[in-house]
Amino acid sequence: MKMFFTMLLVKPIIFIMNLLGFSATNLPGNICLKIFPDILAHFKMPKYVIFVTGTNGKTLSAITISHIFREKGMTVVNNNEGSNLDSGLISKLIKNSTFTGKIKADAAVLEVDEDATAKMCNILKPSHLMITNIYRDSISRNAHPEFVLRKLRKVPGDVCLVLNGDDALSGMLGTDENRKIFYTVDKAPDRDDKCENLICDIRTCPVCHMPIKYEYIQFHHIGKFHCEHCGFEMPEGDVQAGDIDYEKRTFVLREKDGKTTEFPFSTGNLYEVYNNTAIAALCLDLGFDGKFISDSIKSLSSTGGRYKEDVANDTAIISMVGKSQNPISCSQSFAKAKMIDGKKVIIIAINDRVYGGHDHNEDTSWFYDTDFEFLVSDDVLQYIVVGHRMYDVALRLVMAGADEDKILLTPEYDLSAAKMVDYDAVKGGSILYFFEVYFREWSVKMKEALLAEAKAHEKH
Amino acid sequence: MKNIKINYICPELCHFYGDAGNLRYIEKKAEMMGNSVEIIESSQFDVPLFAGEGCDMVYIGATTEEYVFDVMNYLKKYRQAFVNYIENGGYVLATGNTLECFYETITRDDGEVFEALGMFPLHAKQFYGKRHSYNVIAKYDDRITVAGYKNLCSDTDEKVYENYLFRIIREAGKNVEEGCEGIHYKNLFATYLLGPVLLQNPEFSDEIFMGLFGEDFRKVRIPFEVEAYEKRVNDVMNSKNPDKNG
Repeated sequence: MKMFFTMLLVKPIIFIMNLLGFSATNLPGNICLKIFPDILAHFKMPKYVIFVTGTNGKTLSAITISHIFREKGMTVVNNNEGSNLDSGLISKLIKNSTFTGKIKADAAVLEVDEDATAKMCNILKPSHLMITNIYRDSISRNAHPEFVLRKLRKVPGDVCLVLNGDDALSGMLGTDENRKIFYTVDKAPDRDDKCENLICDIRTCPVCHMPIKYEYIQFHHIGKFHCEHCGFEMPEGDVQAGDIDYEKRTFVLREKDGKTTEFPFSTGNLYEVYNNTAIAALCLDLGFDGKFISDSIKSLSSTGGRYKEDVANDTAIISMVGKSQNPISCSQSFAKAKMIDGKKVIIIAINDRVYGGHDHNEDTSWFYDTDFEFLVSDDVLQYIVVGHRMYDVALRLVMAGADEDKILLTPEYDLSAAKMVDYDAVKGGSILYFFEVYFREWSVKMKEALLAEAKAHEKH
Repeated sequence: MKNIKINYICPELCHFYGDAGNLRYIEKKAEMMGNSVEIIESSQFDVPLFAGEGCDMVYIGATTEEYVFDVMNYLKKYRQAFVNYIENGGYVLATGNTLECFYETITRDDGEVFEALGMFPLHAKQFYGKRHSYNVIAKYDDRITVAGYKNLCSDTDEKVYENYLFRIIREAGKNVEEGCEGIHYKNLFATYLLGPVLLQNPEFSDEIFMGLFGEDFRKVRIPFEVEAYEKRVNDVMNSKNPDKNG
């Protein structure tokens, strides 16, 4: 009865908010938490409940899994707006349930924040929990991987874990009670035993804290190692990716029975190989065919992808998004920039804004865990730094080796950066603009402004 | 020209929060002054330079709540040599929770008490459930303003004591009447502030560099560092950001 009356109150709120153009992502959930704190335990969940968590890649992975399910003809609830805490999950479930709390879908594919995962697993009882990776995240929320893992270790034993076998941090989660599926990726062609990133979160054995020897590192601490002291090493993958072809943007997925399937990774980014392998491992366990999974991924248009390209005045205009205060996320975007040849103008608008808040967080220490060095090359004609912490970003660029004479500053999140670009000089090259994940609105306007300015120069 | 030898202690354990920016900053500043820096890493299985061939500075970066005990046990193995090094004027910079290694005890979250180096009558307690996270404005030697950031699953029992490094002016969006933090004894500089503290505070850094480089010290500035520092100090002074997890 309490569920019914809560629905009676909250569903109209969602309806009115949507009518007024608000997304109703968290507010309805927060109202529910006040009047019916344990509402989550009273939803009647569908047959398939899948959780996706991890520091990076969970939003896109959950979207991709949902797409595969839909291709199979299933109806799916997915919190694709990234509302991954309890209030956001409640709002999403209310929107997609009857007045008695029955979810109106065949499957719920939910991205869940690492902090909330164990608690949510105990309440919503997913059949599978897929973990993409664990890295250091924003300092203010998650501090360091050990802090995050302390919370994730409380995941119940009845959930099947889909684990990254090349990540000994998240890959060691769970107990003997949990059924585990490991996915791994063979050494990428251009990798060796050296870490090209500033940070590597596993430098000692996670079991005995003694030195380890990496066989290879793909990026950060993701790779294969063994402990010479206690012999610890991660298990072989149940599902393995190999034969990575950056030109064709494909890799080959090997199942345990030896069956192989060619898979796409449209961004040409090794991180995507990991995400798609994880998704395949999960879907194979649910009984889907490898070819069907691959075709479904191929058919997915780039919803929410973090790399988009337009062309004007013979110049590529490329947007790249990263999570502010998350050094791994920004480093991944910067690594992509490093791979783009030719002359470049780089616009950086990574803010210091506290998540969900309106005030600024003055901590800039994460800049020094972020691979700004990837942005520095003789090909770069200008660095245009936007926003409140512009001096700190400029200082970081200088520390990375950038020429200070190439650095231009603009404090406001307006479109003045678009007017500062030297369009004639960069013609034939690329303009890359990096922005904070919560600044999508700004990024859309910035893209329009860059395209308009570039086209205006074309006419001249 | 002076060549400075810095011993980076347990880099495999103390590599969080962008702290390595401190070492890169010292290298850059030394180069701009016409000096040079040699950074030698000593893992927990190596003999530290202060107990062997000697060094000009010992650097211990911030670490996790579990690893701090490994760092502490490592330093305890060489306690007497470390005490002698500090008493003889050797430079030490410790950031984040490795400050607690110099205390008498660290109490783990489960209540178990561990003896630390015991160099100062201070005591720390860990608490794993909450992480305190906030900005700080402080004064060094009542002259120099320092802006920094704390992110802790532990705290010091004593709120006012001798041999502190910084007098707290403002933290977590509120002014502080009486409070101190860190340790300053001879040339030992240890602070809960984490990240590239030196790089973020050029005036404070100069105080250390003056002694470290001696006659070869020159006041030099990296482009944008003064503007970044002044803006950050101003922002934190006016910020009302509370301790998000407090």
